[in-house]
Amino acid sequence: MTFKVFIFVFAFLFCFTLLFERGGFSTEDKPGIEKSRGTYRRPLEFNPKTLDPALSVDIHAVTVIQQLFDGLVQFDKDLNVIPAVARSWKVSPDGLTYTFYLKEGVKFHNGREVTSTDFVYSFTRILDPDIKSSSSDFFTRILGAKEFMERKAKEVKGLIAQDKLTLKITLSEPYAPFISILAMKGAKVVPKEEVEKLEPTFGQSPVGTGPFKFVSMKEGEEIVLEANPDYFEGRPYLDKVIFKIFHGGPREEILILFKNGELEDSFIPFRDVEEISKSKQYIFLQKPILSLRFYGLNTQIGPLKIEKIRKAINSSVPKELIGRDILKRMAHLTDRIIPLGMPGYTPIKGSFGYQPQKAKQLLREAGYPEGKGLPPIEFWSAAKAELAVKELEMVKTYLSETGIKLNIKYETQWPKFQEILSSKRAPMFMYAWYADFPDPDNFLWTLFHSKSRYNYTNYHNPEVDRLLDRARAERDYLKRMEMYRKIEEMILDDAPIVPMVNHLFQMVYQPYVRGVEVSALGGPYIPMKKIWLKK
Amino acid sequence: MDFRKDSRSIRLRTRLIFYSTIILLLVMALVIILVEKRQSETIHEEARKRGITIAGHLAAVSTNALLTYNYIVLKQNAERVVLEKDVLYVIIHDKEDKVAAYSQHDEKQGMILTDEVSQKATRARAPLIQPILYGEKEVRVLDISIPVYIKESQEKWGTIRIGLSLEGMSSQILKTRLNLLFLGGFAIALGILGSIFFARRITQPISNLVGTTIAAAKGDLDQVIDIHTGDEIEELGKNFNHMIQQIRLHQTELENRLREITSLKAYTDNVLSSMTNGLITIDLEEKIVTLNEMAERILGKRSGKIVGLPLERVLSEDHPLYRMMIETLSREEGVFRSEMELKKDEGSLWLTVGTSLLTDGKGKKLGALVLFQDITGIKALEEKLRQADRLAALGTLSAGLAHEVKNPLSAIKTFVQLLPRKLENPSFMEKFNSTVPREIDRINQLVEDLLELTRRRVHPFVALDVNYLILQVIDLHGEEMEKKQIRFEDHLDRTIPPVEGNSETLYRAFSNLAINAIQAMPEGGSLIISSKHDSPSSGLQIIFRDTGVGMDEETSKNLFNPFFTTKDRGVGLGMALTHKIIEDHRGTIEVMSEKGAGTTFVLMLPVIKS
Amino acid sequence: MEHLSKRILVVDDDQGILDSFEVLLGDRYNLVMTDNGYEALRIIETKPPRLVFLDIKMPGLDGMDVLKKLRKDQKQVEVVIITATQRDEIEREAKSLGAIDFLTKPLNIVEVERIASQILS
Repeated sequence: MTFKVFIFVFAFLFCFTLLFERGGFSTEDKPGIEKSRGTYRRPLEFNPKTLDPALSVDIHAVTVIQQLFDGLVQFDKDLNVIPAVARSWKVSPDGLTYTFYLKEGVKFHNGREVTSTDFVYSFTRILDPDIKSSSSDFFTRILGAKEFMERKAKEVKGLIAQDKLTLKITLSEPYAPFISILAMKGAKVVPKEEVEKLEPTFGQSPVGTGPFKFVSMKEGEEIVLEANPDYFEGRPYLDKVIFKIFHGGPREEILILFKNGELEDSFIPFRDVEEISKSKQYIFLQKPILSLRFYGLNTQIGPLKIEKIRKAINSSVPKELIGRDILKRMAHLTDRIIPLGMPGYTPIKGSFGYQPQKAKQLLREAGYPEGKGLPPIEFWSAAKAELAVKELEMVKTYLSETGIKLNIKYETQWPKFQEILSSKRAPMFMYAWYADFPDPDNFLWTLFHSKSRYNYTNYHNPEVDRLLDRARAERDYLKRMEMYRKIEEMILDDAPIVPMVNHLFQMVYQPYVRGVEVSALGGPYIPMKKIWLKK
Repeated sequence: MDFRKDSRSIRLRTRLIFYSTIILLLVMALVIILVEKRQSETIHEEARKRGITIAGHLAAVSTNALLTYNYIVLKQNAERVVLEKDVLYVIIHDKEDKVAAYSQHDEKQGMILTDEVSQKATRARAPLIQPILYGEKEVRVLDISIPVYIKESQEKWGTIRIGLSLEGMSSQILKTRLNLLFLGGFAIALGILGSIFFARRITQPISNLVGTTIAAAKGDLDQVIDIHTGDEIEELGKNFNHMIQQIRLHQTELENRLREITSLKAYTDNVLSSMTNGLITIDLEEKIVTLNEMAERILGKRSGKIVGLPLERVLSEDHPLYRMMIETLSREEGVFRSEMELKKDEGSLWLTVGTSLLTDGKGKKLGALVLFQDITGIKALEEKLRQADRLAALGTLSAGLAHEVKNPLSAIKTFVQLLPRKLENPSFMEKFNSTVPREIDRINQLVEDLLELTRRRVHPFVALDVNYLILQVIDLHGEEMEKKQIRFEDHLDRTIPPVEGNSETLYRAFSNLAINAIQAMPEGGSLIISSKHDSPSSGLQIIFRDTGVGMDEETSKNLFNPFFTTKDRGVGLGMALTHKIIEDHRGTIEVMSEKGAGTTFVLMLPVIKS
Repeated sequence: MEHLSKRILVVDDDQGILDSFEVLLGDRYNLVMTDNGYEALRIIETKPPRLVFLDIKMPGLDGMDVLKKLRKDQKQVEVVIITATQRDEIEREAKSLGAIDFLTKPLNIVEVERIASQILS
């Protein structure tokens, strides 16, 4: 009898423990590195000019640079700022002093350990007036940056290597998106000795801290990278990354190669999107990205100086039609500068500005009734793909109906095209701006501040400038956004651009590709260190 | 009866266990159901609350972002929130209901969701919970949407939606259920075990008790119950022990009594069987209870065959015995018949029968008893005796007669024989003439008397004064009485009424009585004669008492027999005649005598009823 | 022994019998008569006869009793029973008691005379 009792007590205890069983066993399979060595072949639509992070301008360079270099911080897929080389940081209450604590043992590809001095060097370099870094605009707020840029100082006062792993950055004014800027494409740490050794070809054989090392570049053909086994976040899964360079090449071509298995991913021509999206064979990824494609109207050239003409052009573009017929609704039409998803975005009110009557009126008011006397305007495009051509032709047609004549010119060589743009010689151009960081400053200041090098429309509005600068310092988020709204209104009122679409990221991947994380910044910012191949 | 030792106890135990198990099951089931319900509700509620809380928090932190269409932050928020347990998706709609953020579905950003759920959610002006089936696997999900309002404006600035999977909740509920069931099952098992254990503990002593009582019932009184449960059962056990003791004591007593009774019964049975009387007892239902051997023999029935049967059936309704028994029962007192004739085929059976009512000690009627003696033999003997008597009497009569005649005859013969010789003798002839006719007359009188005795003569009856007659008789015998010095005492009541009778014969009777008395007193004495009439309903009583020699029993018994003579009396027919005369007068005569003390004759004569 | 008289006693309760003896023996012998036993014994005592004629059936002391008494007292007297009863056992008993003869009634005078003469002569 007592034995029976014993058994039952035992059974009871056993059951008791079951009561507290924790459910859940780990579900996800993470591959061991052994399992997925492989080579990833990726298309670049254009040949990047340079792989020097300080000098890089275009998204194609960025795509490569992101795999070779790291900054203090990085964006995660949700654009949260997370540690990169810096393991933590603190901001002073007045928002002027940022102290970064670096991770220990982060090595450059040449083996040398990264210290705070390297960051001082790298950031100073960005501000170097001789380097003319495209990122310098964002660093001007650092204490002493202006002086340094005006060669009034030898160093940037605000950049201090406090100790080996502590970096202190002091700002002259609070700069709300400063942390995000440090995650930017350009804010990477570079090894001084390599830079000085290779200068100016550092951009052709870059050395960084990134998950992949530069192997080789066949000019205009391919760039080969290989895995960095000592990467501070752990060796990436991929062994090799090969960037195949196309030159504005039609996406159809790229897709064919992809389908043949020669590429791991591919861009998708608009008309194939529907089919691919339903494909059971490939992985289709789509995501709206913070970008704006627009027709730039150089406010300093010819008739485009006249606001009314610019406005007339705005009213003559059949955006809806383009969106429906050409873009097959694959992009988000917009009348605004700040893209959908970016803080400060304002939703569209009403139809997309196609008001031919208004356009004609404006022309008349401007003194060019029905475009009489209006010289044809040069329109430059880097893209020559079928759809791009179709679109521009349509624009040309509709504009001509109003009386504005366009002369469409194509330059598919990106560096050359960029040259045209940066020299501010293009009267009208098609351009797309992709966000570097998720802040309206990155669009409004970058594109429209008179001091911005990306201000290809040569727009000058002192009031806008002032507001832009003030907005940068505004720490109250809502107030800041409100300011940007106002700024946007002001700019749009001056119509320096015809905003067209906010892009959609649409790529197709081979079925064995895993780990692709796309943030709102788009394709270039996909961290390839997270990609692995399921073989 | 065959006692299975533990059968009753097992049933009790089973019943105990069964009932307690049932109750336990019911209670547990109720508890489990209630608890489970509560739990489920709570879990449900928790889930909902949690969902709303999460959504609410998300709404709170997303307000600014919504105001500025900051999809970046909204997506960051969404991606963070979707990491929460059970949150399957997070959708944030901007003011225009476009998707600002949709966890894991970046492609939907900027679109308007046309599905019904999204439509309802974006249209709602208050927090809305919609239960839906989400995804391929059709997971049960609560779509919790919270419209975001800014304090300062009435406008909805966006909608926060989270899809809270109920799977976790479901699995929790299931787990709870399982746990409860487990726990319940375990509790039930434990309870059953416990109840078995305790039932055993309770019923074991009872079982012992039962066993002991069974043993005791079978006769084994040496059992002692040894229970120490400290409760009523122990008490019961103790009491039982005491009881057994008592029983044992009583049993010994009873055994003794039984022995007594048995021997008594044996004795009674013996008595009954050896009784020369037949005995039948019946109960109140007239069924035969006892029938002894003699009764069997007398009635010619076997007791085995008729015991228990109704008496009526055995004897028949008009059987005199039966009738007597019934009478006894109904009258509740005994009946006696000195003689009862039972007519049988071979002849009659004569019985002396007596019944009595059987009662218990308290006088309650139990039945009736009949006792009868077969006197057929006796009767026969009586008859023979009577016959013998009659013969004897006749013999006696003859002898007496012969004797009475022989004397006169002898006298006559002598005289006659002497006649030739003494013819010439004148004194002889004188003697002859006086004696012979006298003696011849004597003989003649005897014959007459004899005739008289047997004669059925109806004498004419007249009213008579008895006293007068008596005095006449005394007068007649006065001389002789005087000679023999016998005194007459007159105790005659002069107020007596007349008697109907024949004076001659009655005189004769009285005369005989007087002669008898005189003869009894050869040395003298007294003759006392009395007459009285006690009451109007009684007869006339006449007493002749003498102080003579008296008679022994046999003599007085046969006194009225004709010619009965002992050496002491030689009256001859006198007394017989007297007896007959009195009887003819419808009276009675009785004699009482004691040898040496005297004789008394008591006569009763009926008076004339006037 | 010499009897002084020729006395004969007759004991019988019947007068007729006494009368008949009177006529039969009266003139030759000395006859004494009584009708009861007691008297008889007294007479035998006071005036003893030589011969007794004794009846049996008598009231009071009956014949047999007298006989027994005589025998007891060893009276020298001859007794002859005279009775109406003819019964062998009575005869035997009487004879055993000393009665010399047993006569039944009605008596034969010749017998009686013979006995008388035999005893008294």
